[in-house]
Amino acid sequence: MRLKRFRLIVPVCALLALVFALSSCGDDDGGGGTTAGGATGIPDEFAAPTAAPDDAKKGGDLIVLQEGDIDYMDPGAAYYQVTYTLDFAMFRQLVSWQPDDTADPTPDLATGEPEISDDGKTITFTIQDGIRYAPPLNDRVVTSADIKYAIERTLLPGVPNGYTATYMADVEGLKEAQAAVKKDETTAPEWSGIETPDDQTIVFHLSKPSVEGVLGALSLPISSPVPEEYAKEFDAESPSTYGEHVAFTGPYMVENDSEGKLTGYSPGKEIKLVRNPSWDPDTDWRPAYVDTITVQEGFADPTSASKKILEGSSSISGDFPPSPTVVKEVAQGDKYDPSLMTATPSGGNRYVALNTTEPPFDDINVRKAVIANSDRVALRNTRGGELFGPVMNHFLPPLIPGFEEAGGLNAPEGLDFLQSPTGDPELAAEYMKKAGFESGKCEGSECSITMVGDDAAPGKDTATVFQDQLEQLGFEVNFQPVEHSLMYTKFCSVPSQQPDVCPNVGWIKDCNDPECFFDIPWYGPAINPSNNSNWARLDDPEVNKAIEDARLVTDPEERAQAYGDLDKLVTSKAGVVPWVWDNDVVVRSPDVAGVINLANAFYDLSYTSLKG
Amino acid sequence: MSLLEVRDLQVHFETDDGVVKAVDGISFDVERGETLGIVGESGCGKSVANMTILGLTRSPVTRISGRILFEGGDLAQASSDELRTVRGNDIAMIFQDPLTSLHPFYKVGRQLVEAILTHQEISKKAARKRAVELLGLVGIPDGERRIDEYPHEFSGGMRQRVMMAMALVNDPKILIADEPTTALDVTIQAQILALVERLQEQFGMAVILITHDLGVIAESADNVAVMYAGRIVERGTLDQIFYDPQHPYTWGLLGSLARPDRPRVKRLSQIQGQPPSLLAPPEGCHFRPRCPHEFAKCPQVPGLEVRGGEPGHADRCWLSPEQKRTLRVIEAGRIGLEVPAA
Amino acid sequence: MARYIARRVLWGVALLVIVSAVVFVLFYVFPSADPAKLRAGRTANPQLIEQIREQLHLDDPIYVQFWDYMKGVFLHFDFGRSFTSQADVRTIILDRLPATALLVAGSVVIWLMIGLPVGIISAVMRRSLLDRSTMIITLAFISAPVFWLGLVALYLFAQDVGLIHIFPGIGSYLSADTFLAKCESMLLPWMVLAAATAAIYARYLRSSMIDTMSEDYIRTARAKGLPERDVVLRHGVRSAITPIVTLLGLDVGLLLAGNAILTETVFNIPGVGQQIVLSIRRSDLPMIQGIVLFGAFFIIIFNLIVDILYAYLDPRVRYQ
Repeated sequence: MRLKRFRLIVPVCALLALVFALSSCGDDDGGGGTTAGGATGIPDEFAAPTAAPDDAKKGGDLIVLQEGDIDYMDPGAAYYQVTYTLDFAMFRQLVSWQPDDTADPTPDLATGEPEISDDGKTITFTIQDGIRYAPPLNDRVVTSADIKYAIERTLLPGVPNGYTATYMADVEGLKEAQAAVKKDETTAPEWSGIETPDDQTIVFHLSKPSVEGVLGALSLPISSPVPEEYAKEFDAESPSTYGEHVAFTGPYMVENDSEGKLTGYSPGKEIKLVRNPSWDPDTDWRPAYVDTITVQEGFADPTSASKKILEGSSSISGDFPPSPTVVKEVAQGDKYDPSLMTATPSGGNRYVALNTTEPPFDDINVRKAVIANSDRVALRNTRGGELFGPVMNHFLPPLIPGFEEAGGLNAPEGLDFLQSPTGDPELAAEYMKKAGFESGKCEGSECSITMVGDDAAPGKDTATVFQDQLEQLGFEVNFQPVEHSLMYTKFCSVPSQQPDVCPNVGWIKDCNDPECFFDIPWYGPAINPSNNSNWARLDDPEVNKAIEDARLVTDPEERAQAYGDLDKLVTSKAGVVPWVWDNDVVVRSPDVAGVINLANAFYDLSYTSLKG
Repeated sequence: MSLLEVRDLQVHFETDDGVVKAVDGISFDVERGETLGIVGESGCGKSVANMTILGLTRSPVTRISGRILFEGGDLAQASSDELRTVRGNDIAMIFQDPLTSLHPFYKVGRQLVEAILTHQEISKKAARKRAVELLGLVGIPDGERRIDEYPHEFSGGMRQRVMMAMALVNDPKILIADEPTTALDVTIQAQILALVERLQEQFGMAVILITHDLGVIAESADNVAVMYAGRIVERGTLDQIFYDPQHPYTWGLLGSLARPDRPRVKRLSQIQGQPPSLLAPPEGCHFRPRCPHEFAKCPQVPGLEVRGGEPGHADRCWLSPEQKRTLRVIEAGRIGLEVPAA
Repeated sequence: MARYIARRVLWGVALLVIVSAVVFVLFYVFPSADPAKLRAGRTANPQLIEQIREQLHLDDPIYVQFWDYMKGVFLHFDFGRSFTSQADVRTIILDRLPATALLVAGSVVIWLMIGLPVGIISAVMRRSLLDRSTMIITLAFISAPVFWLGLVALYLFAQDVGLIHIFPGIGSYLSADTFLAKCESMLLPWMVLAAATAAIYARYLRSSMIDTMSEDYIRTARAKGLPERDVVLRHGVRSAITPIVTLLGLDVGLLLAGNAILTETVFNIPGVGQQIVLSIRRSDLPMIQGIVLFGAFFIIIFNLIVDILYAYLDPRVRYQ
């Protein structure tokens, strides 16, 4: 539930031409690679390199420091950006993400782009022949049946997968397969919509032409092959113990013994990756420079951990951003080279949700007044300043189609209440007068409001800064700080318990298609009684209809325009105070030639190399 | 020359509140084989004086002056090492509470052996043998077995016997017994006192018997010093103190004594009031505030001189011998004094 | 004695059951995030949450869950699997114990080696300049938060981020392969963990020594003519140190139970304390439960050891 943690990137592979990330980077080739800068608002010196230098060296041990652990070693269960970083180096998928791919993934196990039938209901992949698993399964060749099994097993209760049933809902036979699991929880069910006519072919039959969602899911770790005869016994347990015996196909593997049991993974402590001797570079586009990758976990203090990296005693940062003090130190450039720090748009945004169903925020003029009054720069700065993202002015974040159409980094035209990022008290007073408060400030019993936010920095800082801003407008704020996950599961995501203000909510891309930014957080019918993510509780017929219409637009340019317009419409409803489009900030050692994977917004371990 | 000569001994403690004059110029002699009784209320300095003889009051905040002459040396000036060879060896000491005075974690035997080996170069085995022997000597039967018991396995009286044995291990010339019977039952008290007396004869040592109870002294002391608020106020032989007491404080002590050999008085008398604070004692005679017979001369310090008593019987009271005799007669009925025929 | 120990062990087992029951109840009574919802993520539909709930057996009544758990623990020494990572709880704890044990063992040695002599010397030299300055310094160490002290130590002495590069820095335990290298990586953590405790022990022993040195039996020992050194060490320290044994037993038990959380966190030592922080943050009941049980086990064991040791040290204590 934590923003930025669990995520699903389901890109729309088909045909999106608008890749402005690439359009702006040809001129910044100094480090030997391309970068994503420009329209993202990230200064050039911190823009992410997306290609290895020409003279990149092979060999060495890459040491990754992390605060926490990955979520699951089992690729069928992984649903976390940090896990994906490793998974993309340990497993091969049907299609996967090269560092500069933002819209289309590149064929990986597949020999080429999938064949899609004219009615849009059949997807056919052909996979490469002769790809073998890592020891001890090095005699075993990957077949299309392994991919089918890998997907089927994610329906088992013992393999907690967060997205198969959602994004592959239209693959025929899901209901039957789920029913079969109910009867037998220890055997992966047969999923009739997935066919493997021969060892090299896999076919997906859909009930609706929703190709994009399915293709997106297939670019994720669930399409990493799993040999059924090997995994069956582990999957028979609940929970499955396959995660302790994973079969690898990527250039790297976790150290294991002759039985296949992982010896190089101590949860919460260390993950030791070595080269996979079965991996054949001729079949793969991953350069895989380093020899070993050691992930060390448990670094709770981001300041000392970042410095350890910058001083050169470790290679790169994993799941934590450098602390504000370190960011400042690096940006100054005296002690460290600024290029050791890079920022990448994460595809996430953060905002303050106002409960539009109850007074006083059921009045759009009151909401506009609150937004107009807010110093959103101050809110953003509670997360560490400019590098952690530009001030958010509408809903779609940089690198997502529709972002430019909605206004780019600026607020959509005509929305006066968003024009001043540092706040416009006079305008706010005007809106308050429109709402019937003569003095320009909120008065009366309905101005006593509730707010539930984080109990720890930086979220708590954001909440208290916003509390001050509300109080300037005359509100009397009762702020209850709670633990971040409780804030969601007990308050902000439960409509019956929802406070007037939720200052610490946000949305991160589940996919690179703009659709993913509206279907859940703004679609009225999606409001649900327990895990609700429409925190503004906006159920507006005009918005609902626009969301339904935009889904049907298929031409890439038209689609971007449609979603840009939708974004403007939603933003005009003033349901939230938008304040940051998140960047993921990472640091590296001077010895490391770091390459960022834009789709994952983290280092790409298969492209990052050691210097000298 | 006496075995021990204490001359003008002063023991002062510097505290945060000021200087406590615990012992303020006392002098006495102890002869070979004699028993000197030192009597006084608690807090009068009698224990401090005797612990000072062994150097046990030394500390950064203690100021000691005067002389403590023992076998040609001055213990007041002796180094810590020199003192240690005297302690438990030439001069031994036993204390009031035999339970707390023995180390609770060590077997009795070990504590005895330790005392022997500190001063004698003999084998552990010989020391142990000597310890068993001593246990027998102080009246503890089955010493061979009991030597391996812990202090808490002994009764109060038995513990005091153990203490005694520990004091005697090195044949001391002087035994300082500081309230040796106070914590014990009355019947046991008599046994212990008898034991002290017996051992004194057997070992030929001198005993300094410190007590607040004249009754304890009555049986065994040869000479008596009465102390009050850091000073000796009267000194003489046992008979002189008991039958011709010169100082009103001594009268008071005698009055509070239950004497089975005399007709019962109606009620034991008490000395009214509390001893003075040693931080700021009254000028002149220290007993002045509690004395029923105070008069104009009392604010001057009375020297310890032979005033009305026999030679050698000195006191610190300004009253003339006649007045003392008269007042004593007046008080006689109340305090149960035997008034010698004038 | 044997009967006494047997009785204590039975009590210990009962206590473990009670402790786990309390953890179970607390977990469900107090607001913690629903593990099923946490795992389901934000796109979760009710079926998925239900499926996860079923798989984690969260849909069983509490007492059934508890009974199953107890059966696992006492019959098979099986502590279940983590709600979040699905890793075997016993394996993880056993994997993390050595780091905590090494941390605790080393720092116990250091804090005793520093705390005891300082306490004794301060007591003997009571009110001296040395005593007074020592007591001020110890107070400073006691009041310094471990987290802060750890970071200061790192920025001063760590080989990577320190001002002077002396000791292996943060996370160096993870890279240490040999026992010697592990010990080396523990040098700073040992000192940081030992600092406050050494100070506490010094002060405790000092006051205990001051009390003891005014005991009658110390006077007796002196009256015997024992050298002052023997009086202090053999008679004084022997008594004054006895209560320290209780303290030590309790401290070691607590530290093994995960009380070295802060030190482990600052220096990134993969020990039990670090694990419990992670697990609490993720509402990972089996993990929390397992660590608490192990912790309770250590506390009970060390209490028993202390009690037995006490009988040995103080002959007045008698067990019937």
